Amino acid sequence: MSHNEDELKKELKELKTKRSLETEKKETMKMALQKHAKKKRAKSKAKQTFIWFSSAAAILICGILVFQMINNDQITLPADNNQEKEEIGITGDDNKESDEVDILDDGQDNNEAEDQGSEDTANETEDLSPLDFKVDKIGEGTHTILIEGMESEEPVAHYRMEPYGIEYSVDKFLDKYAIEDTTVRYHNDYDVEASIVMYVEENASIEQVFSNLQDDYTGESDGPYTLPEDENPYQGIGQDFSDTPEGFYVYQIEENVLVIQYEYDAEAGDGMPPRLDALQKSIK
Amino acid sequence: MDEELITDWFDAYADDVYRFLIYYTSTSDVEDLVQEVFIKAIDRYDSFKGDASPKTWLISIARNLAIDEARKNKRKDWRKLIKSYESKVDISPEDKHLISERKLELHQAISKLKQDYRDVVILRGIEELSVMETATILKWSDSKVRVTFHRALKALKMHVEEVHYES
Repeated sequence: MSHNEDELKKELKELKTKRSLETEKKETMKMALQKHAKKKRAKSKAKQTFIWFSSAAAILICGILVFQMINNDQITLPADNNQEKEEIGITGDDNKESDEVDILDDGQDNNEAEDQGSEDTANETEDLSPLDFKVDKIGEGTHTILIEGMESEEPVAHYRMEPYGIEYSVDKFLDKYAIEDTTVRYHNDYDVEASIVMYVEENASIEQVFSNLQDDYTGESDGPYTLPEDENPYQGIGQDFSDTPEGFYVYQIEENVLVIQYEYDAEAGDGMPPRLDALQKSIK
Repeated sequence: MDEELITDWFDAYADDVYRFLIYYTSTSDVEDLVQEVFIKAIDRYDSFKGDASPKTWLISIARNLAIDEARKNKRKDWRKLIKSYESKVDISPEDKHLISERKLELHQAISKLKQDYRDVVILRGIEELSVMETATILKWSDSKVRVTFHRALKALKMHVEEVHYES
């Protein structure tokens, strides 16, 4: 038998059968396929739903975690800062303090942090906690003081200490301030260092506070002396120590005692006393 | 894949798939395989890109299934297959026998071809699919289809002669 290519092609075409599936068999197969397609679709829908819910749950969990992280940061950051400052206050490391001061330079950050803190603790206790204490810078101006016998007009910043409502002005020679627990500390970044620390002893008597403060100071002193009542309406006692120089003033303001402690380099000796006088006069 | 679409496809292409499987497996007992082809189509519908026709896609599924089936079951029911060609036209029993024998030889020769040649002979020679359709199913280029078909026919010619002399 011999085949050329065309003949072979023709024969191959003839192999094409016209057979088809039986109608009955076709219907049975069709039904089985429809059932399978339906099942597959339901399975796929369930799978998609599962994936959708899993993704949604994962996103939700991430969202909650991020929210908590942000929330925690907002609550804990000021408290941490206060802790740091407290430690600095104990060790008396002035360089570190300068760094902290930069953060709270304009007083606004401080207020925000304290506001946040007070919201969180307001319902917990009526006692004064570090987060209730705050100092607001309420304005700026000038005052005239005598420096080396010459009248000099110096810039001044006005503050309000809360929750006591005590207002006072600090010369801008001490243009930096930082909250350290329930204490505010004013200082500067100049070569000639000077600082003023202010705080309130609650429900205390001026004698008791004065006595306690005296224990912290040694050396030759001027005082104790009663602070002139024409400076401000409050009863006050002061004492100056000349070695460092340093000292303190205490004022009875209703049931509380306002404490002002100062310290400065001897080189600042001409400028600090008039500035301290101005501070005392500004208390209201 | 929804029920409506698979029904449409089944109505349109079930017989094509059925015949292809008959040629490819050399047996007429392929109903289960046809159903399996469409089940696979439902399961893998996501991979159907739509750039090929549903027919070529279904035949490529059928081909893969047939290859698997051939591995599992080498038995070929030639006599049963040849019966499917029996014409209803009145011809003498002698002629009928002759035609059947010739077709049987051809089928046996095709089954002896190597995989590539068998693929292209069935798709181009028997199914009469276009070069492009064959290329799509086999994932070949058009020129490879042409060249391989030409070589496959040469090889088939030799095998037909061998089968003829053997019988």
